[in-house]
Amino acid sequence: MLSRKTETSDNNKQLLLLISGVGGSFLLILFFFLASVIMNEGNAKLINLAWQEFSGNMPHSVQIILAEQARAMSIPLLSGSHAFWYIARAGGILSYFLLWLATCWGIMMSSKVIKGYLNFATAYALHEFLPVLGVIFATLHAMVLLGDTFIGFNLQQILIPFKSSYKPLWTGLGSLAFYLFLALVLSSYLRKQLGQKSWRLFHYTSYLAFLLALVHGLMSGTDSHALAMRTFYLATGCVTLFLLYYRVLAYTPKSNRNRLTRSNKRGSQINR
Amino acid sequence: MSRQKKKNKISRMDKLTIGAFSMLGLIGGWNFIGNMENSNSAKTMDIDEVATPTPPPVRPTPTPWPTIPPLKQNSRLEIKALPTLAGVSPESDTDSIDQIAGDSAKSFELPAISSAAAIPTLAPLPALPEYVPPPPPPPSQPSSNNGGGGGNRSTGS
Repeated sequence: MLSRKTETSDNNKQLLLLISGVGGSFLLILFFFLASVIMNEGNAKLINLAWQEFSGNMPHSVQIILAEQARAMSIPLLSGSHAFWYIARAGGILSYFLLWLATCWGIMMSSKVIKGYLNFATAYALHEFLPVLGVIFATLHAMVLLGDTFIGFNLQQILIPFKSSYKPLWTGLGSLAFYLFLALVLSSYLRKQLGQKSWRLFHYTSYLAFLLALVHGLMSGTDSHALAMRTFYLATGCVTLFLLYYRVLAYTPKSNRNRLTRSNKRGSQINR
Repeated sequence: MSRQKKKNKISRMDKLTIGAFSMLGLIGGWNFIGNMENSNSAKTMDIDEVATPTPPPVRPTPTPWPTIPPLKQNSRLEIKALPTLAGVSPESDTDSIDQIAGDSAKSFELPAISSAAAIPTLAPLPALPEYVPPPPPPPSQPSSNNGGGGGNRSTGS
């Protein structure tokens, strides 16, 4: 029985390794291909060839729809393409959404709103994974801007806060939020080394990081003038504020909690 | 072993699923923003087209000077048949042709050419005075200055 279990787990591991290997190499090839396309505009011909091969067996109507969408998304990714700007905007919004989810999830965990609905271990794992994903998309949001010629960011402007030529204050706040979230993610992996108390103290800066990200999105976002985006920012901000308020109200210090549990125990003993 | 399993409740598959959904969100957002931008640019183009000032239609007013009347007011032109030459059949006699030629020669009588007038000639040129050559230039005097560099005489070009 035990040997069969270990055999299946080994098979699963091999399958996962195979999938990750194939997927990783595919992504690597895709990355180099895109990089070469960006470097050399002459490779547009290659993309056209690939498209002709790819769309050969498709119905004509589907080909038209796909071509229309590709045109709207400014594909292929050439050096003067608007696609970089669109990806950066979409990446920024997605990153903000994921970081908002992570922040709210953390508040809900600490205020025990989700107690009884979800296993603590699962909730904690989600709370750990969501900011990682958020930081990855925030990195994409920043790095893709290097390929854009609309504003023309350089590496120095992106890495150093308040150095940007475009709305330096608000973009600088975004950079600070990114560094803070990155530090928070890393701190969760170094929790043992940092110690529980200092880690917890540092973890409170996540509220500041979220606030910085919100202000950055609201003030420097190209889509912030749209009613839908304003509503989105307002809703996320209000939900976080409400959860934080609830968390403050529901908070009971550790000494009070211990006293309460002791008195409860005593009460139960007397009743017996 | 069981403790480790309890610790992390999110499997790799779950993480991959969340990541894949996020990627879908990114591509969807990219597509949405692209479409939105395109529609916005099309809208602004339409607005520009509408906003372009067009001159008001000009109505014709009577001018103080006489103008050509419109074609409608003109009366129909009368077209008359033009006189044409009489047709000569190829089978007609040569005598009749000669007769016609004689008749036409009679009708074309050239006037007599008047005699040519004498060509006028130019008047003779006036006599020029006799040429006297100019006197030769006087010989150059040697310089009396003995000191200095000496011998620095300009020879001219």
